[in-house]
Amino acid sequence: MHVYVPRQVAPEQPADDAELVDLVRRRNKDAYRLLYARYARYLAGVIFRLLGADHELDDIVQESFVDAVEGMGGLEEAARLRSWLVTIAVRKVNRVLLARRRRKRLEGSLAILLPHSHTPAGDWSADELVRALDQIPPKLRIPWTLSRIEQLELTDVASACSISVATAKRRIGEADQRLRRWLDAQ
Amino acid sequence: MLNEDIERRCRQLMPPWDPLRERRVLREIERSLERRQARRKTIRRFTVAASVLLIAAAPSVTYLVALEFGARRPTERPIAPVQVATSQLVPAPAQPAASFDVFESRRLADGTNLDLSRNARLDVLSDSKRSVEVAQSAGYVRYSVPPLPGRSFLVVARGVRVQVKGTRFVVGVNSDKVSVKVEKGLVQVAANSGEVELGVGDELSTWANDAVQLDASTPANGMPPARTSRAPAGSFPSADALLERADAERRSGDLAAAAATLRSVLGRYPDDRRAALAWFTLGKVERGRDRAADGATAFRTSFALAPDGPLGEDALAEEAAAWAAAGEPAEARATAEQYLRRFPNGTHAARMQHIVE
Repeated sequence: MHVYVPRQVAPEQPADDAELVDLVRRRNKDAYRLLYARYARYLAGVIFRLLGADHELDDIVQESFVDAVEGMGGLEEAARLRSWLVTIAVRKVNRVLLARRRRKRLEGSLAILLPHSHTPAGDWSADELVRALDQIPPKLRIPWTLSRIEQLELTDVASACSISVATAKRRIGEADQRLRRWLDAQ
Repeated sequence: MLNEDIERRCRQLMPPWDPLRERRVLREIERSLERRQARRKTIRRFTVAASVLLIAAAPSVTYLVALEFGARRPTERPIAPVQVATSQLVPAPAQPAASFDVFESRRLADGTNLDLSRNARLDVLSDSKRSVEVAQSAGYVRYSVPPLPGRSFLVVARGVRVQVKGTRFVVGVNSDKVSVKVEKGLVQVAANSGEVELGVGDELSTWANDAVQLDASTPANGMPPARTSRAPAGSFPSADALLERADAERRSGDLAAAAATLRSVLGRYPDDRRAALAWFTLGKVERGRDRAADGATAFRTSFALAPDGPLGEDALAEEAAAWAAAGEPAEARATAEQYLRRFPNGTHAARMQHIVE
């Protein structure tokens, strides 16, 4: 069935994030719906591109918004709401990626039995980049994706990953090198 | 920089995040928040009970200490605190989401109970054991309708029709909004812009002028959901059938067939209420087929049909991205600028800014 659900928004939408944050803090009944309507699609996109898969997307979006609504009191600058939401999501994605990496290590001994495909160098696809990203640890993958794919400012990347700007810069550079090596080797 | 082309393609990777999925996740968020709130309440009550217990036990402890050290004898025994603590721990019943203060209750001939808010306005047009018809024009009313074979029950609220056999739901009518909260049973909602099924605990609000039609029934009584057929008569498949087919083709990965079906439905039913959505879907399909220019044209048509619709903002952003992917930087920039003028704080603003720069 082809379905469209009307968006659940109240008639009076807060003009900016500061007003929205204030409504959520005051436990306004519709506030979290407004927050969700404004940022769900954006956050889902960020999480999807960080994960490179769809399986756990709904859960992470859900948990991120629940944590955001519950922890809105801890947001110091209302104007930074968007990057704050990204920070919450990044922590959850990091946990998922680490678990996924642990699983991969266990499966690693069987990987040699799988058939391998070859793609000429320089003709990479986005899917191959996602596969390449799976090869590097989350601590490099997340800042690289936030910077190169999501185009976040370096300060926002550092804040989302809870690291210094210098470390963020170093990790992005290291990820660049590793990805290039991996893609060239394919 | 690794490779700008790959990075650009990665930026275009979007999850299949449709409005239905968005609604489903929102429902889960609401449930999580309710659960956490209930847990906090329980903890608070437990803390209060524990405090009461401690305060009540304090005289006993004092008494025992005094007894131990040969102090004066008490004149009466301390009150046992256990009963007080137990009553404090009894959880309160959960508040329904569409809660309101019941100002008046009425009972109809068929046994239906109506709980009305203070500002509720309704006319009972028909009240018998065979047929009940109610017109609700304002306020909140909870309808508790007992199942009764052969009885028809209809509520009309500003163009919203709720047809029931046995269920419980709340209809709210404000100046510009109609809301429906299902407490028992299943509801099929059909609006100008589409259809959706609501289950127990679901709540839907929509603009009154969207001419929503609802059909509700408990699953047990087997009442089929009423559907409004908008397809013209004839042997050609209906818009519903074609859209369903396009969805199935898209899900199975047959994008060429999905595009053909969508073009067919748009050619045959150009004025269908879902045309903007169908054009948007066609844009996505064409992008999936690496036909970015065709995708851009489809997104443009979608936006032109419903610039203020729920997909208007996304259509404009997707059009700009599609032109960029098609190697048409001038078109991409012009569309991105149009987006930024119209949605300066939109969810795709950063992406559009990137295209403009």
